[in-house]
Amino acid sequence: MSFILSNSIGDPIASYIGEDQDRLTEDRVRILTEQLGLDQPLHIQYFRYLQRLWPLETPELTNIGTWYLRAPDLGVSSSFRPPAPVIDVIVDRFPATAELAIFSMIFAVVIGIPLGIVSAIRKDQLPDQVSRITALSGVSMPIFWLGLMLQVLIFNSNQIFEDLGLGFKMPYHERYNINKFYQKEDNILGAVVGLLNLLPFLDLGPIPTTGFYLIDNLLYLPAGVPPLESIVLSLELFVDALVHIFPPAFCLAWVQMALITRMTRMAMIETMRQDFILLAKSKGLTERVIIYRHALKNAIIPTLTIAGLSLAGLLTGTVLTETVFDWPGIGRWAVNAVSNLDISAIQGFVMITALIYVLSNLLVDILYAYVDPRIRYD
Amino acid sequence: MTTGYELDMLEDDVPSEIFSFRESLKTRGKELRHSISLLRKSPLFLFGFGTILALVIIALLAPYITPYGPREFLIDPLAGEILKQEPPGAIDTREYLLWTDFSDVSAQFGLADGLLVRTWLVDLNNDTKVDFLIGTSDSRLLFYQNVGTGAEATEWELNTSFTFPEIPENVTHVSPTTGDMNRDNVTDIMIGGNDGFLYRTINRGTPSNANWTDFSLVRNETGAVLEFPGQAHPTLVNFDRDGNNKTDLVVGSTDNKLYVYINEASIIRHEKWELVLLEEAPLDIYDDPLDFEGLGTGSIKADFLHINPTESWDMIVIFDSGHYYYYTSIGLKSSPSFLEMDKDNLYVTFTFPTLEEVPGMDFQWYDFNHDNISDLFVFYSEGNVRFAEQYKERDGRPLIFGTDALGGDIFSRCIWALQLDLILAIWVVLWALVVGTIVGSIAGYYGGWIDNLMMRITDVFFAFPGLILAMAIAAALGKNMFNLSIALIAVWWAGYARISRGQVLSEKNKLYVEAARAVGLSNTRIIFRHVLPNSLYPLLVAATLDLGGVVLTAAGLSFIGFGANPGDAELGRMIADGREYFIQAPWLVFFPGLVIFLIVLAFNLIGDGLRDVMDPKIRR
Amino acid sequence: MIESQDTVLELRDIRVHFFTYDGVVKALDGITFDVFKGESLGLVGETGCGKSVTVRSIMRLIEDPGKIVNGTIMYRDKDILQMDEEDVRKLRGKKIAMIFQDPMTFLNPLITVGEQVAEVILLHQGLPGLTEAEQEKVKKDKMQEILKEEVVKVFELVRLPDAASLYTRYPHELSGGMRQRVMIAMAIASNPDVMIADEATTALDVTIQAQILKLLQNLKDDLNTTLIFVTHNLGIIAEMCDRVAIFYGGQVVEVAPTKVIFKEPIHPYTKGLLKAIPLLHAPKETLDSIPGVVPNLVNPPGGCRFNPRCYLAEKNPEIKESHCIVTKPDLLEYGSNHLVACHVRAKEQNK
Repeated sequence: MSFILSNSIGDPIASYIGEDQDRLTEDRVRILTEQLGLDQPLHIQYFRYLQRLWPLETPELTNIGTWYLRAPDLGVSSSFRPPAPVIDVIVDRFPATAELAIFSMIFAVVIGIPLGIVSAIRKDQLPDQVSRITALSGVSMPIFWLGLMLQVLIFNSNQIFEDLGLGFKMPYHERYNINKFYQKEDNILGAVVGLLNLLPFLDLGPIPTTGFYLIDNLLYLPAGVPPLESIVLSLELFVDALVHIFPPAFCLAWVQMALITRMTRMAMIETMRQDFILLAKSKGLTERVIIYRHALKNAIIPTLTIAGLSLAGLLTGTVLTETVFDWPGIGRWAVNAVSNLDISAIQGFVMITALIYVLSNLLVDILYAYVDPRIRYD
Repeated sequence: MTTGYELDMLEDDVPSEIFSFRESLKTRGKELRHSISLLRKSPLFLFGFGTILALVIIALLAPYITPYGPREFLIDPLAGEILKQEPPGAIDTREYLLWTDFSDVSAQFGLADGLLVRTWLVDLNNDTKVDFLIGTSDSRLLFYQNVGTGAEATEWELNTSFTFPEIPENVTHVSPTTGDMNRDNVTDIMIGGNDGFLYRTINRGTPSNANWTDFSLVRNETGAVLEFPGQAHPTLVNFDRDGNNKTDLVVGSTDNKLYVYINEASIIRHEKWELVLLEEAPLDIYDDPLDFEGLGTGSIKADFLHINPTESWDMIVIFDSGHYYYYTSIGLKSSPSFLEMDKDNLYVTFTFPTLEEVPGMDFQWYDFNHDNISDLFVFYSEGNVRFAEQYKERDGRPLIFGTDALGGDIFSRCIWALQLDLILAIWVVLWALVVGTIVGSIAGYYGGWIDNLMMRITDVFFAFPGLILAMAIAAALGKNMFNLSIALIAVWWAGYARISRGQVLSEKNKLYVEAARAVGLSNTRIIFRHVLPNSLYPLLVAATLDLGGVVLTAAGLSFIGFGANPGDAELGRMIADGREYFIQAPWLVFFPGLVIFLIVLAFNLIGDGLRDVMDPKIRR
Repeated sequence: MIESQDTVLELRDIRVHFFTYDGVVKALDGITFDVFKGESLGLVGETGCGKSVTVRSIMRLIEDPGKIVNGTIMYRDKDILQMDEEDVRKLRGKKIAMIFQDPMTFLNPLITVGEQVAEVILLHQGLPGLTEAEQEKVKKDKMQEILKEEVVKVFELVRLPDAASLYTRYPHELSGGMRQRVMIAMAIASNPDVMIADEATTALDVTIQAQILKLLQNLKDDLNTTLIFVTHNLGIIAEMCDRVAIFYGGQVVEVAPTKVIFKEPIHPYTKGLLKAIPLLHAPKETLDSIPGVVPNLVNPPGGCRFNPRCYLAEKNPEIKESHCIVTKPDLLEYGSNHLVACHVRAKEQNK
């Protein structure tokens, strides 16, 4: 699919050369066409494309003559100056997106499921109407608009906080990004910084180990201060990261929460009408046991499907949210890549999307088996 | 299975094709009546339905209810061609903003004939009253201090006690500009000379007690001297590209171009480095460099102002030959892209008085009397100075949603955009419905490998998030509204294909289809005359509900730059355009977003109501 | 047969309405009968005549659109319909237990059958043999073990094979008969006073049906409980029940000991019902049926709901005019324990 997409989008040569049209001489086009293999028939192009994805280098193609493992070659993303390998960009940017997505998913599930349950139990009463309106407005909300409005709110309230002397500082982990930059450099400097980081008395700021801002900040214990103080500092950084991830995550989560609430509500209503609930009632079980032990387990199954499928929606959401909040994830990169006709980047992004799809479906299946014994033994 | 088919055939020999409609109408009608009676009792559904009805009526009546509608205007005054339609919501303020006659204030200035090179408005002594700095053709800088009382005073007097450093030897024609070049909050001066060089002096003292350094040549970051072919007119202006509050430089000379130098001076090193000019790029209209070839002769004076009530920069360009032009920026505040306006047909919140284009003239556009409407000082080279005030005759129509970056009425624009988005959504859903239904019913009716092939294709479309797929397709086709609609159709048809396939699969084994086949009707006729009409009902319901989703996705795509062009009245694009200023002016973003929200919410409320009524599992 | 005349349950004038969009469905229209201690009472009638609704209102399990609008159900001198929700809950499962029709849909598919039974035991008895203070101390896994033992005992009581290994099985892994036994196990787990079997064998095939019926009969005798048996199968009634209440259109038309019903039915509907039983050695080739259709309960016929189909009313048009279509007939005694609600019969007896 990503191959088809890439072949249909624009002129690859033009995007490879960039905006400098003077360099687009006929000679150069010919040379580049040969270099990129664009003169070959489509099926050979496709074969080569697959070959580059294959993580094992075949001995015939290498000078070394042995098999060795390498990162799949996804090409070079030309929307960066200088162009960067797509795989590097993904490795660099994906954690930020994943962190945002996971955080907001947790958010959505933790709020959405209880809201759905309350809504189902008190169907057509005030809590139901309120949660339905909340959920519906979540689905109807243009996510980018919500993001911008949230920024206005935060900015204004921040101003008020600052006037009161309570403002939280906005500069976001400058040192973290510097460390990230050094770590990416595959040279002496990167190695030196890596070694220096090991020295207990040297404080270089939080180091990107997992790539997740929240976790990295929590892991970071500043050196040269008493242990307790260092933990407090690390917690402070963690809270700072939390404060920063909250607005975009809230935006993303609202939409997801809406979907989950609606699904939970519907599933709960359906389950509460099932025969086995009647039996549970006739056994004299309390309403709480009936709802949480008997009904919820059954109602959670369709909710799981929606949650799994909404990972796709989450990706869509991240594209817009990351654009609005300038979040350094793959969504913003994709928007850039598409507007620059950066084919390798689009391919890479599409592939990541597909991979997430497959993985999330797999995850849902595994969870199904965990929850539903009927599937487990099939 | 009750079809009643046999009875019909026996009783009055009705052709089979009429029968299949009749069956569907009978059962569907009953179902529908029941559903409607249930829906009538759901307040949320009624709210949604009412909102949609209201929005559609508003969209249909747009030409009659919007205060400011779309209007044609000339983009190219020389060629006289209509190049662009004025965006909807543009406010025609010419109706109520009027000018006084020009009064002669030459006596205040007493400039000799041919002395004027350039005037510059600045509060140099920091007394909150604007003063005139005038460069002359005899190597002098004249300081006309505002001696009136109050900030709105308009009395100037030549202050000879305020001295400047010596003008460089070979400069006879002085073109001054001011700005804080070393970030010490004291205004400094830069001059352009007729030798093609720029010189600057830094005020090391205070505004009231000046201590000027000597004039020195202006160099770029590599240390090379900036040189121009003839008389240089520098303008220090704060485009504020990276929000660091540093002054950038625009220079006009005799080569019909304006050059922009972006100040990249480091904050830390500003003690040593005062002005680092890094980037050299001509100002542009969209992507084309601004070229003033043929517009006038001599050197160019450029002045940057905030003419319309937003923070975007506007520009006035005056040639030595007296030709002047007005440009407004349509891009971002930090990297403006200038669009030329016909000064006789300006639509923004000001009008130009008729000015004779006299060689060597200069004028200053400023709200001297602080009534929030700009006034004009015109300096002629023979020493005449004239002053005209602009005043408001009567108030315009109220702007309940405020105005946007180009001074357009957001209320009107929202209504036009609502109309556009609803039309777009209906167009997209209709075509997706047509394509999807054809593909789905063919797949469902024929089955076998045709079914397999077609369903695998739809699967491919389902494997990606809609927005991302649409984004890729829109990018491949090129960015405009039509291509956006094509991309959306490409994303949406697959859903209808699935639904219609399922419907056809369940219909095709019914008796009336077999009967039609037995009568010997062709497959095409059976599909389109018999099977489809019977399976259309759920498709239509799904399509209606999808309208909200299409509006949301279209707006999202426009927001990230696919589809509508900057300035177009499209809801997502309006939000994107307003994004630059949304902290200071949240209404730019708030109202268009609210309209999107209302549309989508209303459709979702209807959908929710319908689902509750139609789903037997939830229905009582 | 009936050792004592102590009543366990007294139902008086129960009216249940379902408030649907189509209108108010008057499902029960003044149901009145007694349940004696230790007997097994059969409730018989066509589909939709209100048998299930009656037994569900005994447990106050009428779901949302339905409402018990009138009546009293006395259980041990207390009116179940006036109790607060918490007391009714304590009654359910412990004093009055119910066995439902379809063992597939009535067992929670996601919880092991053992746990589903253990739930009842833990709720209503606590851990057997331990005081509450001791129960607090018992650790969770220990508690599970004790419970499991208890459940296995109950499983053995309902003759489930390989009871120990069944504990961790899920409902879908069991056969229909086994599931029904599990459901019965759930009902008897807390030694209830009254067991209600709501079409408990309808979904099973005939051989299993016989086994389950036998099991129910035995359990009833062993545990000395009262059994209310809801069915539309007169054959089962004949085999299982001491007394029968015949339902028609949300009304009780006749209550009598089983033998009396079969030998000398009085109500015209009962007569029609008995005639409709196919007899193996009957000479007739066609089956008798009652003319007409089951009444629409949104707009039921006035007075006796059977009047449009009643041959007695047909024969006595003046009584029909004055009584049958006007007032609901009361249950009148026609012999020992034989109650009939019929205007025509009442008039005949009065003469």
